Amino acid sequence: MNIIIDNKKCNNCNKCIEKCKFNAIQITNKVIINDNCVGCNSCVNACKTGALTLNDTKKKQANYNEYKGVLVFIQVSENKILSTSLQLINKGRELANTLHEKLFAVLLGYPNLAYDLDYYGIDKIINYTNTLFNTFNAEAYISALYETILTVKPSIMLVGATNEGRQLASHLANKCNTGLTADCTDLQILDNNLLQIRPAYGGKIMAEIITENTRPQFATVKNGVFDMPKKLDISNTLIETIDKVYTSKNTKQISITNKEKTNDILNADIILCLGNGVKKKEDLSLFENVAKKLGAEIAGTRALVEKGFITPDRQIGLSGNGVNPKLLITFGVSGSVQFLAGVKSCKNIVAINNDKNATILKVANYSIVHDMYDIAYKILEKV
Amino acid sequence: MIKIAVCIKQVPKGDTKMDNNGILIRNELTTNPYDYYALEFALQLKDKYNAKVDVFTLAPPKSSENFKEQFALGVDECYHIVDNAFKGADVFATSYTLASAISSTDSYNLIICGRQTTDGDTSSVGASIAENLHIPSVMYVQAIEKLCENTIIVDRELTNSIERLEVTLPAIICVDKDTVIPRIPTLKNKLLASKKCAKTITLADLKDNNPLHYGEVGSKTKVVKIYEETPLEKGIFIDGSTEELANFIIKKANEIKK
Repeated sequence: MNIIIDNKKCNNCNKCIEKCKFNAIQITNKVIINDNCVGCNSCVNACKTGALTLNDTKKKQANYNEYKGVLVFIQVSENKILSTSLQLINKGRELANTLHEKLFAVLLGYPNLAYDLDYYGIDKIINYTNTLFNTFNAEAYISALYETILTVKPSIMLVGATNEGRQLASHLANKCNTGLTADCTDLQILDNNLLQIRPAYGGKIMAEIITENTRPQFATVKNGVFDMPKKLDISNTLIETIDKVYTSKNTKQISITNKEKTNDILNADIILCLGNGVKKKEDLSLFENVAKKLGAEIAGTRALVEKGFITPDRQIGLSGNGVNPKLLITFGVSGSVQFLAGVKSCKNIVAINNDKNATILKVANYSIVHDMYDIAYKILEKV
Repeated sequence: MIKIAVCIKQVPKGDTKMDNNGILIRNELTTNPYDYYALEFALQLKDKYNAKVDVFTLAPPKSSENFKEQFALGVDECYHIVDNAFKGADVFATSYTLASAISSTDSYNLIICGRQTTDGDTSSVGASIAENLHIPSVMYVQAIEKLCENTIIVDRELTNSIERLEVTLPAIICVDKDTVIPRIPTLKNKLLASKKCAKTITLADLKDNNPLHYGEVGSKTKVVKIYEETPLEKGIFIDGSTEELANFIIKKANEIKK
């Protein structure tokens, strides 16, 4: 615990106890902070007398002030730039504008795609042009990206939270001796720091996190959290090409098999998402028929995946997919924070739940309090 | 002999909620569900190659009960990494603590982690330990094809493909769930386990025993605010008979299909 207690300064106002969500503070004849303390420092912030202060032995890293701007990793799959990367370009530009700093993008391989990144307001694209990079190789990517970070010295680095992105971000953050927050649901600038916002501890609780003394500040973000960028009328984007190649010493690819595309919920125009309102696995065929009639792809919440009703590739939520279809219809979904993180950008949600207090009914565009089975049967009758 | 280390985390059971006074309700600790898969992968390698399997857990003092279960599954040693100095650690400090404890204890050929935890789900600890120990890591492993003297062959999942890789040892692999079926302890093993105890690793036991490298002080990220999210009221409630509601939904879908 990093808090210094000065009992002489305590005036028993109890504001620290009020702010503490962990029941970690007791005041008898002195202030005691117990084992429940997680170090969120809400009590220190609440204390007006200086009885609680931070023991801040941390200093900023030596070249902290040299780090400026936002760097976005551009991930390519099947010869196409991932939507997630473009969404991060959009958010990255906004963050860079707030800081009055530049936006950079780094693309490994795929020199043919560099120009697809034009007109998005990127100040400079760094492209390692050797097509050996077209095949994902964690070790080689980490070497090239680390070199880019040392050259560009960005204050913030954003990476899409794909399997590849998570591996890269985790390694790079550690290599740079800096912090990483994964699966952020929002990013803001506060006092020159990147405010990394995400659900914590499960349940409805949100946390705001900063990387205070080191740079770059890393964040990974899932698909669909931020909006796609719009192209601008003019472009001042520079492209810097680098001919270098990195190979892997420790990892060798033996074979690669493309995954069967069993569903396309990431690109579906209409998604029908099922929640805990589905009573038994056999009932799925009812809703699958409804989805078919409406021209929708079926998806489900984490609870349904854990019950084995749907496969994990159809999961929507913080630990599943982020989606942004033209229309999302939910049947019996309650709307947990984790679920909502997967539909953050959705602007057309119709939610059906027979509990009028369900959270999803507060955030949907159209909320329906009704039995989901009755509606499902009725839809099949009509179409 | 092949030596395998498995990193296991103790997480709160179920969803963490706040009570009416805004206090987080502390649930009891249980083994992170994803880590049962890491353990099963390790125990299968033990069965096949006669490997030694040790578990490393960074956890507060009260979680010592969970080790009995691990012994009952067939684990050789359980190391409970515990010290006031380790408290309040973020991913960076946690990874350093685990790497430090593992390397101070023995030379392991393979370290296995679960994919993520139910309380933090950042999925970064495995890769960060790999960086600390200067060894390769592979995430999202679906299967172990073969374990050889100096290499391991694994299948791992990427965005659009499954890749088979040969990786030099020592290495860290982070295994996915629903890949293998975690075993249940036998009665015989449960009885043998009741006699076993976890060994503790404190700050003093580590090669790097500088407290500034651990816990909250050794962390790079800091939580500045925690709050319960109250979603904004939005949108409109649609009322009507079942028929009217069904028509509404069909109409909405047709608007998109056009």
